[in-house]
Amino acid sequence: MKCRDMLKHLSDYLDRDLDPSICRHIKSHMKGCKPCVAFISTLRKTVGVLKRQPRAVLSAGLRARLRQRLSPR
Amino acid sequence: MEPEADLIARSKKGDADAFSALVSRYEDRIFNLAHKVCAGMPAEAEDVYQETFLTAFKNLSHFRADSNLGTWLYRIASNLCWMRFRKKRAEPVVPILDQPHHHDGETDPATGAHFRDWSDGAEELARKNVLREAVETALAELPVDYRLVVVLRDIQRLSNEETAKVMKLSVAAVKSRLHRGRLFLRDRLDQAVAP
Repeated sequence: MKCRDMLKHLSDYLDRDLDPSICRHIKSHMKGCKPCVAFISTLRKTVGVLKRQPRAVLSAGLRARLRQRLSPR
Repeated sequence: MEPEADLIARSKKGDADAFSALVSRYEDRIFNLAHKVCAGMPAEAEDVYQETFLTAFKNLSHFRADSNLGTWLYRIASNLCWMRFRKKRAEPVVPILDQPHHHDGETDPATGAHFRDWSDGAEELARKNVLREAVETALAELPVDYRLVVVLRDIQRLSNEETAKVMKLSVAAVKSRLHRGRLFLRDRLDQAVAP
């Protein structure tokens, strides 16, 4: 498997949503390709940072304004 | 806790208290979606949050009992975000799939000269908020069609199937947008941590 061929599978690979035979090809490829190891590691970190983004805090004032708009007049 | 189906039935009869109880169950998730998709535009996020529930209340009679309320609310919110960004500005072009990773035959795979691995320092950078802020900035640069999928999947933690239902896309299309979106963000983070 070439680097370019591997690239299209990387999100599925990180999500563990990939055919086992393709996974084996990727792991085998990475043993001899330092750039791909770096690429996958940084892609994995990117997804990790996304998943750990702090949740937005909904203010009490905004909650109250919505309730006011929803209440019968 | 009162079953959701009962709250929906009461809300359809105009019971505002029942609808308020439904709002309480979903509002934090809807606000977070709006906040992340409307990155850097808090007033827009607040509008999307409010309009989502006002639209839902108005159209609740059309909501089918066998549907998932969370999916329906996410769809309304996603549509509201999408319409705002379509109106606001021309969308940038997402790099083609293989653009950020083109070392086939161009570098020595043993040295990896063209690819820096900043993953080892990523935790420290995240603690310093460098990566979190870079992600926020990068999300704002991502075209809204891709941004919605990335936020639904990687921030809201929906499955591919749930995201497909919200976006009315095939699972294959969700996976494709997610992958391209992640590549775009990785590329932007790479630039952000560049010395």
